[in-house]
Amino acid sequence: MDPLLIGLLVVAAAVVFFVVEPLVSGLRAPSGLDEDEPSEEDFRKRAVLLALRDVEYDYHTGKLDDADYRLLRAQLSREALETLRNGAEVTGVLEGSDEAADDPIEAEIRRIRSSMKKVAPCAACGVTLAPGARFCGDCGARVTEEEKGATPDEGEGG
Amino acid sequence: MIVLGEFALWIALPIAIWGMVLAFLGGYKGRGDLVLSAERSVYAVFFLLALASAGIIAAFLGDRYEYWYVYNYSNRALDPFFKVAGLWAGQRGSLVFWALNLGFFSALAVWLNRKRNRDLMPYVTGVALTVISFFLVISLFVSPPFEMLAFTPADGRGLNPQLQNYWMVIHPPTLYLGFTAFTIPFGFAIAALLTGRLDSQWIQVTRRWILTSWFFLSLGIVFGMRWAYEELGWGGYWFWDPVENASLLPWLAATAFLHSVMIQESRGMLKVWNMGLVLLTFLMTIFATFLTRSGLIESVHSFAQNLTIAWTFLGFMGVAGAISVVLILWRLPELRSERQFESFLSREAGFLLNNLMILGVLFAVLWGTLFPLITEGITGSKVAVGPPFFNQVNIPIGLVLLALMGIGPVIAWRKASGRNLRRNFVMPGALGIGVALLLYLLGMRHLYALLTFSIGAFVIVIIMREFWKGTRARARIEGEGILPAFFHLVQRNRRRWGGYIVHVGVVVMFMGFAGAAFDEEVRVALEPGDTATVESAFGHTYTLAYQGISTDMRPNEWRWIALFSVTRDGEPLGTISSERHFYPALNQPSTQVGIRSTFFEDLYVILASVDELQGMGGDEDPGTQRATFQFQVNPLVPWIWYGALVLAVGALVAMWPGSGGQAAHRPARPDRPGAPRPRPKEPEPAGV
Repeated sequence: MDPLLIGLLVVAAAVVFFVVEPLVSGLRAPSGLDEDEPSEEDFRKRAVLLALRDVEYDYHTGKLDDADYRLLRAQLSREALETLRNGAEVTGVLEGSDEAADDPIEAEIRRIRSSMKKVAPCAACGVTLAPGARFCGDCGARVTEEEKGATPDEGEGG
Repeated sequence: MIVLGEFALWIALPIAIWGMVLAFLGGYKGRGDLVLSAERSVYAVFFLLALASAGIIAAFLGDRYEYWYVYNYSNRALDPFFKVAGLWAGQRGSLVFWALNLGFFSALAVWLNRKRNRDLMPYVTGVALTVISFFLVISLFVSPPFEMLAFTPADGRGLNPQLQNYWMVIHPPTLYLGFTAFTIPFGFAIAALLTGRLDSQWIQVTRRWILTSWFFLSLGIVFGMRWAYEELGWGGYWFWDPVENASLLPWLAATAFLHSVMIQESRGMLKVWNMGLVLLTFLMTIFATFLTRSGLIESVHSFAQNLTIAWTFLGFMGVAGAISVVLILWRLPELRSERQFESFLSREAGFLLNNLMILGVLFAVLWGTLFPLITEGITGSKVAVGPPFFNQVNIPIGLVLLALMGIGPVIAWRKASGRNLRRNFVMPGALGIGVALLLYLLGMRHLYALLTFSIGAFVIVIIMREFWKGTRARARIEGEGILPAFFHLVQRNRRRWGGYIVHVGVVVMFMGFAGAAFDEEVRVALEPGDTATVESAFGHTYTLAYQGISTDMRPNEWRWIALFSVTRDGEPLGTISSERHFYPALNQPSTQVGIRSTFFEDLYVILASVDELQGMGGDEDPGTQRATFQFQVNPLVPWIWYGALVLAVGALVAMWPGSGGQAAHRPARPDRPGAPRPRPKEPEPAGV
């Protein structure tokens, strides 16, 4: 037999074997989510938290007015809260990695969490209040003592 | 090797089709064995395409002129360096090369995602193999690279002289990498549509792929400009040639997508729009390949004439477009926007305006490119659409886009207040106007150029101030020194800062383009001993004394090299040489422009014709070395290349792997047992 032909047949056979083998041997590609893979929840969390980071940055560099900053922050914090509730531990996703200690998103999460623990939204307009605020920075309504001390997470898991 | 290559091409097609079918089926049925087989098909197809490409190169290096493709694109005297590049010198090889590039990226995507995005990967694999199959079908049945002639010619017809340049080895592969890399994000978009996981995942996962594609496209385009500038000898770098336009179209669409995707991420808007842009970019990469390689439009790059291939491409684009549109319509309810636009004075509106402007350029370029073709089809005569049309439409739009680069970064999300505007725009705006006034007083009267420099200054000031403000804020908050604060700032949000660096690069390039308003040009016939003068827009005068022509006869090319000694305002600057080459095998000339580059301008010498060259058959005055030259002083052209360098650095900052970018795909800690993660399929809760 022609050695060239043998060579070609060997290549073809090897390729076909490589491709078809999973069907015969029962080898499988992993499907669905891996244990340590970010879920859609995690991706959404990440998006919200990064947006929050941008809002913070814009505020600190003078691109956002106080009112807009509070409103945007309130919107995004609420979304973050939403995902935190749905998605069990956000920290479970991020804390485990080595970079967690100096990770900006991680820091952001801590900040949001602590701020959420401390303050409830303004009863009058719904804007997130600054910790310790006596008046709402957006609508000017007086902040009651209950609101100051309330934790919005209470009774809702979180 | 050659036979093995051809054989590999033949078995690549059934393997690719097998993988394609199994990928979609496996994804639909959730069968891991089918998916694994499909993914292995990707590796196998890549391997087979590498064999096929090696086969083509072997045919070139072995001077196997019995092959049609080798016969038409090579000859014995051709430098082996260019024989290797023969793989992408013509249509037949370059389609295999396209498939090879896509095979590489597909294999890379499968490998990188072997443990993640598993729910999307079957469809990504399926889409990639579909596109590869299409190119394989063309390579096997429409435009076969291994087709044999009925006889064996003694020598080939040689490679087009314009391609015998080192840019030939660099420019097409870079562009092809850009074209093909975009198939992967397109695959992810289709996968998102098919699986209904339309939110953040596919956007975040594909960002780096899109940046990679964009990076190679940008470099490819700039390399092409440089090639034209050095080699084609018409005196410029961009002629709105159909093939240049072809490379620009996917770049424009990808640029629009890179921007609009940020609104989806941070504001949950424009989801349908983004899907549309991914589809448009993908179709444009195919369309660009089609324009370049079908020979449908005559241009300096098109050397093929084959209409079957045109219809095949159009059919494929039609089917791909139709399927994608149907998928988008199917998912329309889930792609609704989470928020409304609140103000036209906001960053969202800025991004949207940016998108509309870029698409405006895209459709103007597309129309200008296709119009001659359409009229030719209808009336039978070709109507040329030249640079005036493109410049008239695109320069004003380009200036608006330039201004947006300054406005976008500092305007607030949602709604910009008067105070915000005042605080951020007064100083840069005043500076921009100041620059315009200064240039006007210095004698600059060209409106577009004045606007370019004025707006450019405005943008650069804003971006520099952004860097400064960010660094200062970080230094203050974190208690760091300025330098560490700067590096941490960039490192923490590499996409934002990399993007700003890209913008600086683009501004510098635009200023380089504006320099073309002040090109000076002199065309004159000289004999040795004659001098010519050409004035620079900067006020000085170059004097070039023609020393004569020397010849260099090589087997494959004959070279005429004209030498000048140059002085600027009487001060000697040394010599400059300009060459004209002649390729006897093809009976074609080419030019090698002489360029003397300084920071602000290029002295540019074209040897337009040598009387002796034509006079080999009998010139009226042979032996005098009389020749016609075109001298140009092109201000600011070097800035285009500097700007491109800055742009490339910015793109690398944004796309470099690692955790700093926003796209960082963080490996996570395994969940605690018993804490299952919910994966809701319903659309995410709308914001407030």
